[in-house]
Amino acid sequence: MSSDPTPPPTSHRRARSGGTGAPGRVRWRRFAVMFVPAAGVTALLLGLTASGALASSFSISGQQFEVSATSLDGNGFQQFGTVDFTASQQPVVVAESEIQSATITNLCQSLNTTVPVLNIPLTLKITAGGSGTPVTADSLIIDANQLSGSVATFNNINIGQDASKLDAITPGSVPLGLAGTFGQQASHVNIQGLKQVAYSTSAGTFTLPGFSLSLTSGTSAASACF
Amino acid sequence: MTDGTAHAGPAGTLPAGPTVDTRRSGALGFISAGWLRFRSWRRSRPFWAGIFLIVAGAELLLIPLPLNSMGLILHIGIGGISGILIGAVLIVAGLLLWFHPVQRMFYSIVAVLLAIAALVASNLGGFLIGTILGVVGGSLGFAWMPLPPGTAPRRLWRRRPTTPADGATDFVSPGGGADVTDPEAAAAGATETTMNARDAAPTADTAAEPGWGRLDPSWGAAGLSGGVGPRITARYAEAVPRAASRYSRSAPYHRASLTRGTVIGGNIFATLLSLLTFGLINLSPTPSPTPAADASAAATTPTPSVSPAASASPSPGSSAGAGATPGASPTATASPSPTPTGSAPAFALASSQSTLTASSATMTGFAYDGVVSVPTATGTVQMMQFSASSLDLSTMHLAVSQGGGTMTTTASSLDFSGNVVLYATQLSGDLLGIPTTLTPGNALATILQLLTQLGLTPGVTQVIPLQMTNVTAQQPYTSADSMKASALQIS
Repeated sequence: MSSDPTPPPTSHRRARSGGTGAPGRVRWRRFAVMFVPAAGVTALLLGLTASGALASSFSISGQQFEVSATSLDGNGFQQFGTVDFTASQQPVVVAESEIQSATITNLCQSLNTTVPVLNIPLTLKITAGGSGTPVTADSLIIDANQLSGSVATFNNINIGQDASKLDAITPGSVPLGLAGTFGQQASHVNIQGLKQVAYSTSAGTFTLPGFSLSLTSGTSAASACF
Repeated sequence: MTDGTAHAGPAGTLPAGPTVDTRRSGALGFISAGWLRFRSWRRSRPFWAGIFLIVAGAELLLIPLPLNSMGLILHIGIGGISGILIGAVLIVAGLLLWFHPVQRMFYSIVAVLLAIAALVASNLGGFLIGTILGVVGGSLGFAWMPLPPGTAPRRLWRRRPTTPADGATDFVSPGGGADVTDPEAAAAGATETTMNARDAAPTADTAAEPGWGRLDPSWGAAGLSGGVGPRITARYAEAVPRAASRYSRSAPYHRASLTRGTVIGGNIFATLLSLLTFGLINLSPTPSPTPAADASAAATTPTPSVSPAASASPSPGSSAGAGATPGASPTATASPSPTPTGSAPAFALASSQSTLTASSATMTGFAYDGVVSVPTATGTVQMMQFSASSLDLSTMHLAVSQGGGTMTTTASSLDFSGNVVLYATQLSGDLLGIPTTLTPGNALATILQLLTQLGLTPGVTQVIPLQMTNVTAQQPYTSADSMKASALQIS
């Protein structure tokens, strides 16, 4: 508003206006200049993701989460036993399932976690592929310590193969098990009523048509997938 | 309204403070001085933008980050790498906003773009949280501007007792170009500052005019360091020269901190960068070695030639028809076994201890094909080979022990069909009500093999399915054209 009667030389001020010694503040109009378009692009990308036009990439590790689907259909299936570690460094024996390409109907993924520092329990749930268009995933890897399906069909299945010699998925594109461990593979897999408790997952590309993401406080079973 | 000269009067009333001064000293003084420094540091850079970006980066980075080396080897995929990279760069951008705010535009724009990219590249932008925090933080950094000189003390929140610190830099150094060397000029500057700070009081706390004493509790209540108010007052109340020297020192301090800040910023950047590259160097080879080696072996060698890897033994495959040849186990290794056809395993089998049990097994077109040498990771194992056109197991239970744990697979029914081949080191169960155990080369197995050679078992069991109950198979390997499992459970 009113100007200071003895303003310091502007040249000096300029010299320090690099935001070093001089105090400053946020100009909210400038904020809007950056934030509004950024939020617009974010919304656009979310829209494209929800329509299945844009694929996302997923990788979660160290937390326990639940995955369920009414149906999973995949080409190129490998599975073997391995050991994961939880965030608290507890070893967990898990079955690592790998699918080269999968289509998933009514995918649900929920994650119970606590916000660090604040220590607030949260349940995060993503659902997708429920509105006619299934979810598709490439190079899907899930480490589950519990996996169940009401009906599962496999084609060209080998059970008991050396996990380091599996080749149902293009070799080199996914990790394999340790030499000598028990593995199985199939050229095609279909699992109905899939439920998994998993510790780690990753997927190179994941389209999530009709996705919704909900964040609820607390860890009630109602907000989880199953 | 903020007119330096206009407040020469009120400045004169300051001496109300000295009593407070004597009370506040020692640790409290250090704390409040530290707090003041922190606050002026915080205000001279896009502090909150940095906080937002660091939190966003940490969130994006931690979701895919495996917390152990084994996980690192097995599970870092492209999504994980991009999450870790974007998260790390956001953290670096946040730190650079703090330590090198001159380039805040660049860092902010990079941060916003990366936060948006994370939406596609990493767990939907850390389940949106990281993206939102990153976009907000980047926008805050972009929007942060140093105040033009005249407006510096105007805003309410700036009028709190730190103003002297700011004021010192704002007024002292520019006013007296030779700030340190000229104590008089510095003193003058300090007085000016005092006026400004004094002026701040009524505005910040309009009701609290009666004096500094009235002001103190309000600061305390506001959650600021309780010592701040009095401390400041005390400073002003002290002999002006001392205050002057303080402020004149404070100006170089700022500059010093600026240079130090830049250096620190540079160091942190370099450190993070080297950490990052180190991490990458560490990361990049790890996911590939085992798979790559195996993969190339598996990829380049078509099915029959896998056996070289598993010593010079002939491939274990032998079709049902040619079962007689490998039957004599010692000669099997010497005689070239027939080219593997159908479902014969062309790979090494698992060597982990595994046991399959089922309440019943029903087989059609069943045949015992003899003993074959099967390659495993730990050497060749003699195993019995059975074949069938279908195999239905009920109440199946498969236990695999490896790596110190046991993984079990259960199913209420497991139906194999089409070119079913079963290998086992031992097969036992009740055959037609009689307890039966088959091991490679035992009498029963030999008889069964003779029956097969005579062409009896496959033919007969094709018509009358063979049923075994309480079946147990050791080291089982099964392959089939298709398998259907009901109530499948792996845990």
